[in-house]
Amino acid sequence: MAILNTRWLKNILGAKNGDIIEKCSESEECSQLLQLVLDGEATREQEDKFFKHIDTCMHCLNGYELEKSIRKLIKSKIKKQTVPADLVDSIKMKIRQTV
Amino acid sequence: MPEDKNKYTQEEKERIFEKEFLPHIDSMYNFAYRITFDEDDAKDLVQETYLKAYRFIESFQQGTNAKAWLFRILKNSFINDFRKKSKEPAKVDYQDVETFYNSEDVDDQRTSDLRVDALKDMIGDEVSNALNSLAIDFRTVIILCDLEGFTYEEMAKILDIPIGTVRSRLHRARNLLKEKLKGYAISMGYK
Repeated sequence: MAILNTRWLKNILGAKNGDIIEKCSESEECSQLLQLVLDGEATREQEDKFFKHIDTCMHCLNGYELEKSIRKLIKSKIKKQTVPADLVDSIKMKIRQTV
Repeated sequence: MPEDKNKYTQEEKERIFEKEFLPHIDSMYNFAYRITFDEDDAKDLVQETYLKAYRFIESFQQGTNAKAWLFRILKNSFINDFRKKSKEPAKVDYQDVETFYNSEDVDDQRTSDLRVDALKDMIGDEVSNALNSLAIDFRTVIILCDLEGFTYEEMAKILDIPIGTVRSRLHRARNLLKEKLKGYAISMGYK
């Protein structure tokens, strides 16, 4: 069911009265599109379609922001392991033994 | 394609190994560590991968994607030789898992209440734990996509699965991860 926007939603998005929906009727399709867009795998057309959609769909806009944040979180918070100092030398040594 | 046994001279082999293979050791080690959870195992796995890469260097085409090629060898080594020895629990049946999640439709309705502001307070440990708690096949696609930046097509080659499966597995993986993160958010007092 479409819910009409409140004033703050209107302010945030600068949308015209009445064109914001909070529940998405095609949320499964949108969430697949969202993945493609954020993974850089969407075609130009799919991208346009998605961004046009989130102009007016609060549900999918929230989903987009959340997914974007999770990707950022993974990139920034997962600690990088340091390669053991002797690994490269040990590999090279083993290779020299086989040549 | 017929394989030329002496495609590369000794010097070329060494150059390829040095310039195209070794620069990826950091990514390789990190990937190996995240699938084995053990420094020694990760080290062995990476070493094994590089030795294989050298042994089969004739089948590597110069100028093609060395990183994806190496990751594919690493993943195959892990499945064929390594998993038997390592502490990693038995292999998850991809098909079962995917059928289950497809039929249950885990999608975003259940997870839509995790909010962006809850993520801001998460520390590295929580994010790592959430990722590490995923079954290895789900963990792997997230690592390859988000941390290593592989495309769907590259992931399909590395994992020997169709692109459609990459897409659906990644989608499931992300939803499972969101569930875990939501669990942490709730435990931190977010509703």
